[in-house]
Amino acid sequence: MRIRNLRAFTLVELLVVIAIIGILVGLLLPAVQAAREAARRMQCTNNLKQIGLAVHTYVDAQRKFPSGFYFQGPGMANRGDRPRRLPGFGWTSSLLPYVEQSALFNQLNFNLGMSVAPNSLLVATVLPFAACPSAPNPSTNKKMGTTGTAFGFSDPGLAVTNYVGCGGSFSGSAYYSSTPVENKNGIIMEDTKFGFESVTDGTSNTLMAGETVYYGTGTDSSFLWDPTWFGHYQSSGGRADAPEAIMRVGQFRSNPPSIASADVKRNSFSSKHVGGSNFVLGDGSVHFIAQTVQHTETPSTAPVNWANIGVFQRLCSRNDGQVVSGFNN
Amino acid sequence: MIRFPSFGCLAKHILSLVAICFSISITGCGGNSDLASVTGKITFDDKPLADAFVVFSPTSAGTTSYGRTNSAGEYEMVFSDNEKGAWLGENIVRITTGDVGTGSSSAKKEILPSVYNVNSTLRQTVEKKTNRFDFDLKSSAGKIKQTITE
Repeated sequence: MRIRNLRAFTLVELLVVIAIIGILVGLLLPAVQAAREAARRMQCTNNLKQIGLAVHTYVDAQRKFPSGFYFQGPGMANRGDRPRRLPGFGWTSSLLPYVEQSALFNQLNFNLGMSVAPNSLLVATVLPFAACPSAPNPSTNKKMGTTGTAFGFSDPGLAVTNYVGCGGSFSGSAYYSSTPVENKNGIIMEDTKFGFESVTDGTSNTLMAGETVYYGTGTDSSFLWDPTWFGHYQSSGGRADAPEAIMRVGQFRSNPPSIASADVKRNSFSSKHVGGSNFVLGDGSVHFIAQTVQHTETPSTAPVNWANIGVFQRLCSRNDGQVVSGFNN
Repeated sequence: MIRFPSFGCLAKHILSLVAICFSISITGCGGNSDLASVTGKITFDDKPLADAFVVFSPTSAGTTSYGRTNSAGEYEMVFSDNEKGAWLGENIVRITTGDVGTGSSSAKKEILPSVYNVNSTLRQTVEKKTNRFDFDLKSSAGKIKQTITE
């Protein structure tokens, strides 16, 4: 009888080893990817924490929350008198001295529009904490004009962010001219002048800012309300009023599917984190709120029937008088 | 030549293990048990309503799902890009055709009466099965309210 040489591997043995290694790698890869996403989510949490702290320092210094959107610069004419709405700066610009960007803040001229030099060049500055690492942001700045116009293709554009203020519970809540008055119930809204005393629900029960993804391509104005740091400027029709670009509201649930209407996308908070998105509350604490949190998408009425309104919309309001619990799970 | 069949057997076991792991990984993740499939057809004055945006908002717990009608007026509710269905229980249904222009697409006007969207009187109860809700909308149902502003 011939004795086989047992030192060598047979083909089947080799295949078995490969199969086992394949299974182990298959089990490990999703875990590694999940760990990477968890780390990115933590980085995002930290970014929002910095923004929350900056708002608190701002309130300490200025005795009021930063106005979400500056309809007009200091020294400019009254509202109705202006043919063009300048300058377009938002709440994030006011936070600059409180996030160690005093040098940048001092170079900006708040009497001029964002699209005017030197502002037009400075607002292209990308701040590292202004973007969520999970979000698919464009590598270029947002260019919202056409050739030859302000923020057109020849300009460096506006720096992109993923963090937007919470303007209130309803569509249009962030607008100064929003009616009825119950609409204007957020913390970060256009032309506001109030401090902590106006957050009657308690700062630990009210959303102050959250995150949103970038929908457009970054090279043209394919989505007008994509989030930008410093403020927003819409050159078409001489308009600079786009509070939706730097604020979001609670009218719609977070993380809408891609079939959602443009109106839903421009008003809702969204993220690339699985199952929800991060928010900083008025007290500066950051919470991951699930996209499944109760939401009724109730349109605004006067008076508002808060008893029938979902948890998420109540969280977005600073003065609804309702008890909110169990949102953080 | 005794070893070969036994190794072949082991390889078969390994193969079945791979198959089991694969099937678990496919079926195991995703799938919110609070969602149930919802489809249907929307007609407006007896004609199929194309490109209408459908919203199911649950009245007690849970959150909204969205749908959009195709050219035949058929819609399917979607919760997120990889989860289909609407939340179980009673839902307020809002159907709208209005939308804002984004820069690459132009704005769309609301053509449906406000009792179908902003002041919706439509209610449906989503049950744990494959639900089908058809809506027959009429222009005579009331006034149209343009709610979306640029």
